[in-house]
Amino acid sequence: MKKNNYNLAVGRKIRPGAFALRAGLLLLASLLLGGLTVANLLRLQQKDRVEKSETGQRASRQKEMDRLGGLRQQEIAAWKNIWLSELTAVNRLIERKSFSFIARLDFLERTFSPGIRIRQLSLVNDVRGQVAMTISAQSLQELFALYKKLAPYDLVISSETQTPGDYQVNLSFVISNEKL
Amino acid sequence: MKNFKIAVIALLALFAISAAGFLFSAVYSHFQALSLQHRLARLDAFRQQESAFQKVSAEHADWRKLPGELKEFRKNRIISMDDLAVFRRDLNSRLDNNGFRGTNISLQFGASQNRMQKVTIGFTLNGGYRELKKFIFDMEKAPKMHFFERIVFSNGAETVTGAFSMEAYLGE
Repeated sequence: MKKNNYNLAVGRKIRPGAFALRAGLLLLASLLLGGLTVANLLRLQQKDRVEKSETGQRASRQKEMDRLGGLRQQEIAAWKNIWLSELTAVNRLIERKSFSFIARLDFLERTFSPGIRIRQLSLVNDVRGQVAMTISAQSLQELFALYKKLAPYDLVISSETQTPGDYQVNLSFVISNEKL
Repeated sequence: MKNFKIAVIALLALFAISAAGFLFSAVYSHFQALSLQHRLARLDAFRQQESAFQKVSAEHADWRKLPGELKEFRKNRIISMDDLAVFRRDLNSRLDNNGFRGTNISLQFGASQNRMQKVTIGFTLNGGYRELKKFIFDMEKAPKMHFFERIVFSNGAETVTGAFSMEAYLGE
């Protein structure tokens, strides 16, 4: 039997120019991917290094804050034991000293119309700013105009007496510092 | 021919390694991004702790200054026992300035608390409303720690009667 040999490569001639172009492109792609890989890893490494350094700093700062914070809390608690009672008393005095009777009298002068006469007025220095008074008015219309003005100030009318041509009223309301 | 084969294999191997490296770096980057949320949460907790620490520090600084400020307050605002006579003279001069006479003035010394003694002062004045108001204004603007506790005005035929109750605080 005769043995046949086939040379398949015969006739397949590789063109060096085309091969070089393709090889070049492949090499370029490989280098590009390699470059991207290196750049990416370097970027991540840099980020990681910065973060580790920041984490380290934060950890030491956190320890320092825990230590100092605890110490300061203890000192504050000790100072509170010593000074809180006096501080509360002083704050209460300042609050009472800043209570203004003049501001309340100004408010009353602005609010009351000439047809209303104040017979008695009591002002008390307290947080609420309680005002009690006895007034007389010549007409019901003037009286109700006053009630309307005082209604936002928790107005309480305890007694209203009518005599011919005169209305006498006992009333109270509150003017806190915030409302002045 | 053989040389071309070797070159192709080498180039393909190089490309495969580069691609694998690139894929690895992309996956690594992705995992890093996933852990970002965890890191942000830790950073947030740290910032909260820092903010709480700053608040404690500010409070600590306030409390540290407090004894000095209380001392200053006592010195400038509380009437000393020695200054009680000065206060009384001031009250008289303010009454005189507004045309009132200092009569029937009562003083009641209360118990001592927090190294301060309360003195309740009572008096009644009779005169015009404007003068009474001016007197109240003069007393209110005084810097020392005395203030009106209660004022009752009664309207007479021509004048107004004011019943005053004051508190003054004396330091020990």
